[in-house]
Formats: sequence, C-alpha cells, structure tokens
Amino acid sequence: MKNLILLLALLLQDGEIARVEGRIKASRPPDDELGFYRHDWAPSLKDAKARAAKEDRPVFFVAVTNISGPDTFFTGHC
Amino acid sequence: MRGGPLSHADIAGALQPFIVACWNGRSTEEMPADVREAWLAANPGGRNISCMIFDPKGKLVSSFWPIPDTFEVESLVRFMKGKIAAAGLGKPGPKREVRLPAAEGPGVRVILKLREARGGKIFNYRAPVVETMKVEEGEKKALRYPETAREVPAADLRRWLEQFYPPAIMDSSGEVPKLEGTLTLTAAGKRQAILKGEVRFQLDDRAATKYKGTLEAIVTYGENGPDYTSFRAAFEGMYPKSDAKHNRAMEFKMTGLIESTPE
Repeated sequence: MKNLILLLALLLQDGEIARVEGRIKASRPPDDELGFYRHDWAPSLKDAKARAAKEDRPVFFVAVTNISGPDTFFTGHC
Repeated sequence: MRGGPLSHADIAGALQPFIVACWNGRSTEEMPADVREAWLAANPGGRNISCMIFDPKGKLVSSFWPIPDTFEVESLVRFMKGKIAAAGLGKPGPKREVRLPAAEGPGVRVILKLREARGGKIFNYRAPVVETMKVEEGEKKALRYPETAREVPAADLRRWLEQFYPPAIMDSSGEVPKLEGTLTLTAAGKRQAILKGEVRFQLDDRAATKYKGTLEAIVTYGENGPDYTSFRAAFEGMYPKSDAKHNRAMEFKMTGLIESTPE
C-alpha cells in the first residue's frame, strides 16, 4: 500500500513537471518573432565603426531621442 | 522600431552585410561625443529619430527619418529597405541565425512579449524584449534544493522578476518600486523542484500602474549539493494600459520566460 502511494505521488510529480515543461516551451517566442536578434549588433557606434574598419563592412546606426516628446519621458521615443 | 521594421525578416536580410548599433536617450546632451557629432551631421532638422548609414571607413553616406507617412509596418519596411539599398553598400544576404544575448558566466536570460488581449493592431509591443544578467549569491541561495517544501519571497528573485515590465512605457524609468508575492518551492521528480506562485508589480509611471502574473518554474539540481544547475520559468500576466487618445482601456497579455545561461 505504501509503495502504491509512493508510486502515485511520483506519477503526479512527473505529470506536474511535464505540465510546467509544456508552459515553458509555449512561452518561448519562435525565431520568426526574434528578427531583432538576427542583426550583427555592436554595443556602441564606436565599437561598430572599429569593427567596420577591420571587417570592411558598413554600419547601420539608429539614434532615438525625446527631442519632440513630453518632458516627463525618461527615454527616447519613436 | 524594435517592434516594427527592425524585427522584420526583410530588414534582417537587408541589414545582413551591416554591423548594427543603436543609441536611445532623451537629448543630445546625454549622447557620447561621437554619437552627437554623427547626429548633428545627420539630423539638421532636429527630428527625434535618425537612421544613419556609414561606409566601412566611417563616413556618413546616408541618413533618414524612418517614418515617411504611416506607422503601418509593411510601409515602414519598404521605405527602410529602399534607403538601405540606395546607400549601395552591400546586397541583402541570407538572414543570420537568431543570437540571443547572454551574460558572461552563470546568468539568466529574461524574455517578455506582449499582445493586446483583444486582438488589436498595436505592433510596438509585439517584438520580444530580452534582458540578461549574472546570477547573484542571494538568488542561488533562495533556490537551494528544498528537502521540504518552502516559501520563497518573490523579492528574493527581484532582479529577474522586475524585468517583467512592458516596453515603450516612456513615462516610467523602468523601475518597479513594488514587487511582492510569495512563491513555493517543492521537490518534484529526481533532483528537480517546481517553483510557483503569484507576483504583483507596481511601476513608477504617472499612473503607478499595478499588474500581476503567475510564475511556474522547473529548477534542476546536480547529483550532489544544494545549488541549482538549471532554471527555466514561464510567466503569464495581464498589463492594463489606458489609451487616452481613443478614450479606452486596453489589456496586454504578458508572456515571459526566464532561462538560466549558459544553457
């Protein structure tokens, strides 16, 4: 009887792990939503230009400010 | 930008030859000197965004404001592709593999995406946000193997959980002054445990927005010793936002993931 209870408890635990595993898998965005992370990012314009010169490649740089936004904003906006 | 053109497959192809960088801040005063110099050369009209293309020698070849007429994503993508092609500095290539950032050494990666709960068309929330950080001793200690089930205050994992805030809330610093909740950590399976519970948040935006979500994680441990070797969690919540322009309340479903790194 004790072994049966233990077996049932183990099966329930396995079921719970499998259920949470399913939630975790479903939470991961597919690659087609992660296009932003396909770019060859450099941490700064300075780093990008240094690499560009070494690798003979162009640089694409985006700067976003709050020049036209309300003064309550903490960041740039687009 | 992140939620629209820069996440689009066509732009991933168009920018394949390029090294990509960005800067975000309130004003030119905050810019590093090299960014300010480039900005002033590229953006004499003083608009809020500037996209700049430099050749391999660092010479500014082209610059443009990326929103020509509408915010419709396909229109923005067409415009940006045209500008990139016109610079003549590299032909589109095959899309690179997705490379998510990771902290150096043992860390966690937090991924969050939002969807308007009623099937709306706001796209700037859609691109997942990825944050990374190194693990600290307090976090390792909080997740030690539970010989018996125990409670873990959400505050013990604050640095990870406070990343579950929506992007593009520009009147918030990103701080989460209040983060509360109690999780339970229970052994399950062979050298594994499940951590789960509700987490409640409050932002520092003007509305002091409150929201909450549930977290469930599988924590895996080595054969010996109490410290975890792998942590993977799913988070689901709902973020309320008011749309003053259209006088309506909106709800965004938040779907999050925390995974320990290296994988």
